[in-house]
Amino acid sequence: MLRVSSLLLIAASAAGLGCAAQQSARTSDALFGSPVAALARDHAPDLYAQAEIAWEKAEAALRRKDQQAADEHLTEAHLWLAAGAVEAERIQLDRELAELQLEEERWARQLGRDQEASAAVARDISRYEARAVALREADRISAIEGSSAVSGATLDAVLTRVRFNLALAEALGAPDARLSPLRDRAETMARKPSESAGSVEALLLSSEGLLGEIRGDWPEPRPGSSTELVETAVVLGFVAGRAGNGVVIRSERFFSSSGQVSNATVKRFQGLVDAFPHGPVACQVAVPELRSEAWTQRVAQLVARLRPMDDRARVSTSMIATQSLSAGAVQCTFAAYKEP
Amino acid sequence: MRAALEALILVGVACAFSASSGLADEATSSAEAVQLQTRLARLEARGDAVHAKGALEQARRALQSASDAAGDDERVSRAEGIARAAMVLAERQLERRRSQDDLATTQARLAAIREQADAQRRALETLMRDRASIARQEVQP
Repeated sequence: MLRVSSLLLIAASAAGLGCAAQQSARTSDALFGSPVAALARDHAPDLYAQAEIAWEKAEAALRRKDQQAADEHLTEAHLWLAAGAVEAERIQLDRELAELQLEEERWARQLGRDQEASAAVARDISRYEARAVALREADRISAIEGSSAVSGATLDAVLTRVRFNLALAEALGAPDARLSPLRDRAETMARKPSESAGSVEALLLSSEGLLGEIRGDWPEPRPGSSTELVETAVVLGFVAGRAGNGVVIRSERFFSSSGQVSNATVKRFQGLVDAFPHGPVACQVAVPELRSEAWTQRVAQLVARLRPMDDRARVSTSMIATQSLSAGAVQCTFAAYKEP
Repeated sequence: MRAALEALILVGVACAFSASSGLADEATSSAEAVQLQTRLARLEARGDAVHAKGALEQARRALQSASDAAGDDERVSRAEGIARAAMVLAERQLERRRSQDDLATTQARLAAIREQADAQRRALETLMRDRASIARQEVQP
């Protein structure tokens, strides 16, 4: 609208030059009465005022019959008004620009928020995937009990775990005399993948047992043990984290969907308890209600499964009615593993 | 079209003006004329001066006319008035041009950021769907 008006003004200016000042009243109306002149008056009043002054001089010259002076003042008036029209257009453009910049800022803010949210969700997914991988590895390790033959993937998982345990045991001060036989057995298994399930499992338990023994030489957990416990628990497929009262691990896999105690999970849990030999471990089983007979029986089965493995009676198990955990979820607190 | 009309007005003004003034070698020495010449030179030296070519040409002719009319104070004053108005027009045209360029640049940038934001939103929605699917798997032991 403004640009079209600007064109009209310029066309009128050109026409005005041809007609000169004889048609001053008509030209004055055409110029100062046009919509674009009104815009110039509103947005560039200084330029509009200059045009008016020049116009008045042109009229005065006309009254003196000085045609040349009238033409020149009229020319000046046209130029001032054209400058006012251009200025009005520039102001309009700058307003559009400011609106676009605001819109750009809004989009930039949305982009920033979405980038942050995407990163958070992606991290969340990565954590889940890492846990899922750990769980699969842990399941492989735990599954060797029932199978006579060990798959290549399971053997890899076991050997990786054994090597890690031995490296950690060495770092904690285990003597070569204890480490070398286990390393040799691991190397032999790596060369001869047809090992029986029993010997593979025995090697794994030996390495975990050694690690527990070395840790047990200390009267209390060494600094950093809580981090090791969390990392090991995660590797074994538990959700784990540090809390004010120790390290808390959680799993919803102690019971199958039919309510049977999971051998694999119990075995993983026992391995964890052995590898971190300090202090009591208080477990709570989340149940829908404390008077549930079915859940009482299931928890009793779990306690019975844990008892033979728990020679020092470190693990206590109780039921808790809660909505914050799903039914059958087991949460255990390793109370000695508190970081200052 | 606008450029053509602007040229038309400036050529018309130039013709009307030059018809009333003859050529003269005598240079004006007034401070006002020097100031206007300096201002014109500065405008013509700008990299974007081509976008105010007509108005600058008009200002140059007006200053030449003022120079030619040395001794006739009235004519000099009128010619300098035209030169001044033409240079203000040129300055505003260049400013308008700068605003147009800024607007075009901002529009392009806005289009790019909108595209990027749309793509990011789609990525986020995909991630959210994945996360929701994982959450459903997590509640199934």
